[in-house]
Amino acid sequence: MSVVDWIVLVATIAGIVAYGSWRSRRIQTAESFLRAGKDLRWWTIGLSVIATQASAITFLSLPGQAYEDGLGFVQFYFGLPLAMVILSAIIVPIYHRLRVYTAYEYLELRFDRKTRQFTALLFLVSRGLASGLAIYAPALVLSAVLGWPVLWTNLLLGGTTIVYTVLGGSRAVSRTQSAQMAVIFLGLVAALVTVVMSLPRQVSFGEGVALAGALGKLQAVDLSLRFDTRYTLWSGLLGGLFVQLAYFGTDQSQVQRYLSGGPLTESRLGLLMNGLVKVPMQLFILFIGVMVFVFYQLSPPPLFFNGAALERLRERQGTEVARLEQAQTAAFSEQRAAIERLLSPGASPQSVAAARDEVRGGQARIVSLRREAGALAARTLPGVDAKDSDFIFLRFVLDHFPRGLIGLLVAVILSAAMSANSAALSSLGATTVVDFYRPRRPDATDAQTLRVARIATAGWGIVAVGFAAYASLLDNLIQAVNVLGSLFYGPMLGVFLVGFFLKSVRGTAAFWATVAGEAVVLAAAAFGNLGFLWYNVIGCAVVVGAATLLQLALPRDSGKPARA
Amino acid sequence: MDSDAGPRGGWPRLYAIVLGALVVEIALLWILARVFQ
Repeated sequence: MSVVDWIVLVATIAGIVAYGSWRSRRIQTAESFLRAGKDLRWWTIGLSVIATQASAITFLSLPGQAYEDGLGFVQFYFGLPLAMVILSAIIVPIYHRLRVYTAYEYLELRFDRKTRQFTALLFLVSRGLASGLAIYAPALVLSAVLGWPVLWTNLLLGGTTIVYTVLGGSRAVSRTQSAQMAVIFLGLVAALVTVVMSLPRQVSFGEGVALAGALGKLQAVDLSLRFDTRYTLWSGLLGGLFVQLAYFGTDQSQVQRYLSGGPLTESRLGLLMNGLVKVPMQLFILFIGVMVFVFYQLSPPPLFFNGAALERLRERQGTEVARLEQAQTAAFSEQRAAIERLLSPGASPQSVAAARDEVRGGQARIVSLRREAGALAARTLPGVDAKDSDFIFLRFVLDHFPRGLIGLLVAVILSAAMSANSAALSSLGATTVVDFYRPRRPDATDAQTLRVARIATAGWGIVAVGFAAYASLLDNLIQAVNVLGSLFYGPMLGVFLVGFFLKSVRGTAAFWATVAGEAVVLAAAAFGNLGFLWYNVIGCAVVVGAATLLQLALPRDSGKPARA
Repeated sequence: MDSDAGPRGGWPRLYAIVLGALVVEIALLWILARVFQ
């Protein structure tokens, strides 16, 4: 990175942290540490909710996902607007009425303490591990940019986030997230403009889009009814609805964002803002990835997008790398010639069809050579993954973005990392204190509670950094995050739905049904062959079904009556 | 209880806008894929 990039990066990040710290400088009570504040308006809540979900992984992994598979991943978000409407209409008013700090408090009011704490535990495990992934992704970026080992950048990024969250609590999280989202939106627009401007002069934007379409990258909606396909319209609408309901309704990192302690209307509007913005925003990021793909059809792509690994591989396996690069250059030249024929004006339908087949063939050869290089890198270099899709966007930014914009894009990725991680750590700390510490120490003073909340937040930060050290072993990061969430969200959502809608079910039945739901999901993940979005549906259905049956089988007085 | 004044035009209108936008987006994406293939 150039000096200008460093200035842009450091000024942006330091400015955001200073702003958040200044706005949350009067944190002296546990209430002000655990809740974002009564004065938050709906757009701050909405931005905070969006920023919490949009981690650095979103900006690193999503364009890479689109480069490989096109726009299809957007279907994962189709259930989100539906979930926002259900939350806004039914669930948020219940939380507000009960004045709870965490979602799991509701479960004790409705069922009993063991159900509350088991569900809170599921949250702590899933969110704690996911935070590790969310630290690792930007650590990877910094490592590539600075040339430092990933472990150092893990520690640096995790450490910074821990300090700023432990000092400012939930209020600092919400305040900084508005500024972070402003940087993120600015960076995204700049990224798309730069990608489009980078296309060769003789290829227009429309022709670029046409090329993406000819290579199948614009197939966003899959109407097929296959259960083993990861993303279809139906898995997105139904599985996505369940995962988003569970995430926004039962994951404390989100619940804490909209239960700020302020008016109910602001929380409901903030969630609906998320429902309107999310799908276009994800589509925009995916489209950037598609345009990066188009760019590399017209300009030679690197053999392997993990640049640092490719350089090391060249030193160890020079002959083999040269052979693969030669083969790739030949395949690229043939493909480029076919693209010219495909895009040439006045070509007959037959010659267009023939050219399209040739382009697809060339593309398949280039992909297979990249895979070969990846496999060689994984065999030769310890700790290097054969898959390089998370490096695609980063490689493009570093190689083709103008000075200053590289710094801005790295700031976008770091902003996203900070916003998602600080929200996660803040909610992990809050859940530990509210759902585990307070019930055991009801006589603790406010100062003691605040101190424990800060220690718990820092402790979870250390766990997340520890797990981040293992994240390099995983496949595509954003999928890893979603798969991880889906292992826990179904049963979590199930027990909340039982609480909201099945008034006859009591604590004992709800608790054992949640345990059964979690066992079934883990078994399905270990032994089954289902798309992971269906875990959410299955886990939720098992809990609802088992709770109903258990309540019928158990004596009528098992578990205390509902208070919520 | 917290105040819940609600938006102008009421909540159902806002829910219809959010869900209507989703339907339009899915339809546009489907058409886009048909046009460019």
